[in-house]
Amino acid sequence: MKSTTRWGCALAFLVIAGGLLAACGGSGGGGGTSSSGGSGKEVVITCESCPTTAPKDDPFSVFYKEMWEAFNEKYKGTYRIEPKPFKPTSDEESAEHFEREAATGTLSDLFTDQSNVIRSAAEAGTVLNIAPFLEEDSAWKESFVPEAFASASNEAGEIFGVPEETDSIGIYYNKGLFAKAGIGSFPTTWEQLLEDCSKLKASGTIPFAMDGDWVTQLMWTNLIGTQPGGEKFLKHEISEGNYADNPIVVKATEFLKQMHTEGCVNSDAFSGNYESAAAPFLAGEAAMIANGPWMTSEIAAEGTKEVGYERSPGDGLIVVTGSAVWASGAHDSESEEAVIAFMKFLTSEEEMFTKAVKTGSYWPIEFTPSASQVKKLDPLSYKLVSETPEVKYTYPNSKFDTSQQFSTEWINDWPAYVQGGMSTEEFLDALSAAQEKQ
Amino acid sequence: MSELSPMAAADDGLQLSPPSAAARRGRRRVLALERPTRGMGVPIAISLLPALVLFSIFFLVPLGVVIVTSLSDWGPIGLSFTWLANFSDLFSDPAFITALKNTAFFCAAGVFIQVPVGVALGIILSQRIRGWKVLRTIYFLPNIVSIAALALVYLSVYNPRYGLLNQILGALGFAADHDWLFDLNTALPAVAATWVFTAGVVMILTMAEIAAIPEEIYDAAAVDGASGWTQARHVTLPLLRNVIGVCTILVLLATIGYFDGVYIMTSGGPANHTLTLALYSFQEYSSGHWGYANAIGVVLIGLGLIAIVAIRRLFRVGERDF
Repeated sequence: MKSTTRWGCALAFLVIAGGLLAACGGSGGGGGTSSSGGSGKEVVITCESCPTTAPKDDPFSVFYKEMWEAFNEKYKGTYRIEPKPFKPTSDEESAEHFEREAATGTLSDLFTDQSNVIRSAAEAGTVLNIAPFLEEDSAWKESFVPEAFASASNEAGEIFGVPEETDSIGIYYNKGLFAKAGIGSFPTTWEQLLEDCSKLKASGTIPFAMDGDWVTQLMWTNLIGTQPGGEKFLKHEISEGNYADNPIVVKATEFLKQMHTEGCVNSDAFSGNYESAAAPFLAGEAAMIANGPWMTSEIAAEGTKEVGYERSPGDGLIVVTGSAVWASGAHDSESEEAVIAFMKFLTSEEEMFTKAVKTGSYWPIEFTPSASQVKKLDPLSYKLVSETPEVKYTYPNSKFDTSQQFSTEWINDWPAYVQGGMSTEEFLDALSAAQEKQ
Repeated sequence: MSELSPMAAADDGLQLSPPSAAARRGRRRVLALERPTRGMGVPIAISLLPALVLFSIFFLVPLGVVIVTSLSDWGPIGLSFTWLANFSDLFSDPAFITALKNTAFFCAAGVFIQVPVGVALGIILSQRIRGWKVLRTIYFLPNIVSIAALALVYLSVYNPRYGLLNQILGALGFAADHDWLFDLNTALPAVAATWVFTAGVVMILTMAEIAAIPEEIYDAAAVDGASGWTQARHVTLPLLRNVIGVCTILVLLATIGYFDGVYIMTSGGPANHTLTLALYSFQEYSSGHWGYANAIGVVLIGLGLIAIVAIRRLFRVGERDF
């Protein structure tokens, strides 16, 4: 090969490679969204939790999509939400995503996640404090139930998110399977639950569906919350660890283990996968499952028959306000104004009622529906909501004030503890260490 | 007396002393390319430049970042250098020690089960037994499926409530409710069993190497009365040293960084009984301990390098005996 030809080939190769690199760079850039519109009138805010597509079997996505579209319609020409949907595949991925964005100052103008994630992200100082906006509009502030902002605030009084739901989390049960086992009513004490468990097992039914994570921890919460002092622990002490030193926690943990060792749960109760619990209940193979009102839509979709919804044995109910909140990373006054307008729109009586009808998830505002409105609500979940004032013990979910590490440790160690590979003290110490690690 | 070359001496039927080690090495075929002709150096360097730039951007720079940040307390809030603190913490961290042991277990399963199974299959199918092409295709099929997809399949197979394994055991009269993936005693072998027998790549590489062995060697062995099995044991197997080394390196590198299957099936549980170094690094990253996660990554890189160097030397990878 001649020298000139060789040089020509080399240069041509470089030009092609450079062109390819430039093309790669070009396709990755652009598409940035400014907070303010180019016209100078309409303020555009970005939203990472506003879906652009909504499968019919996902009522939450359907509601959120219709809600932000309704906001854009109402405030046409003034404010506009531009969705930039982020679709995490796990809670961990979502938490990590928002914490990283908060650390790098790249949060979108609107997003939603669990309140503990928002609190953690807020430590970076880039999440909008909405306390001054609530002070400015006392009517808006007073429209919320007491302690509505507790989950998303810090000791300095800063508030980093607006709640969008109050959930009364009870226990679903299959009346047909109860009748087949000769059980007339839902158990009101924990001892009665164990007795019913034996009867259900004898009738060939899985007594209680669990998953080693969410559902299992709901029962742990119920076992703690229905003991005197349990509510105080769940509200104020759970975030501090030292669980092995608390007799309430020890007793609850050992009872939950007993439910497993006596065969009251499904054989795949350690998977850490919610489907392990939901599937047998929805298929009519398991008699009970603890879960929130949002499960009513799944029950309806699967056609599960004769389902009842009751408070926990021991007369307790998990009541959670603001487990998830809407927050903002807006940086300028125009965007902040638009974000607050959105938050007021979302928490209006009209939108909160629509959400309850569509998703079975109830409002965090002072609102009493009319008789005609009640007819539109799911009777199963509304029954529990309306009974809440009569319940002896109400308490928050244990997940409310514990870290992601706590949950990961629980999923990891729970099977070992139940199988006798760890003592109660070792298990609770591992949870405490994970909680303190955050 | 005229000098006699070893070949000429052999032709003459003369007995010579055994060749020296240096001479033996000299006869081996070192698999290396010839040096480029004069004048091509600069054009070759320019042609390689884009690849080198991409390699630097996408590999060397991240590698540098991993190494530098492994010396720091790095998280969502910020970075402060703590130098070797992460590494000293690692070796007093029970989860890390467990992950190290589990990773070693997976590596051992790969080297002592997957490689021998693949080599044995390669030797057997190279005998052109009846239906060998069909068997080769069937055995290679799992390698086309991703480990993640295989893990999802095995999640169903192992499920204690409706899984295939328990159903078969139940039909045979055994206990049919065992939770294979979350029992402390069975979790680790159950996870390993999902991939350890998928030795299709080892089998294919072995078959390719066997195909390259000159027929004359087998002809000579046949003349000496060696049967098929004797040929396989005393001729084929020793000549596969190079490819066995390559396969061992490939399997070790895959198992040292084993992540997706274990993440999907057990997330490292129960009680870290299936936790691997790669998964532990990911968990620490997800928890916001980015510097600590990168320290685990540096250990992984170090172990990988040691494994490659050791196996290259042990198997003299790159040298053929024929």
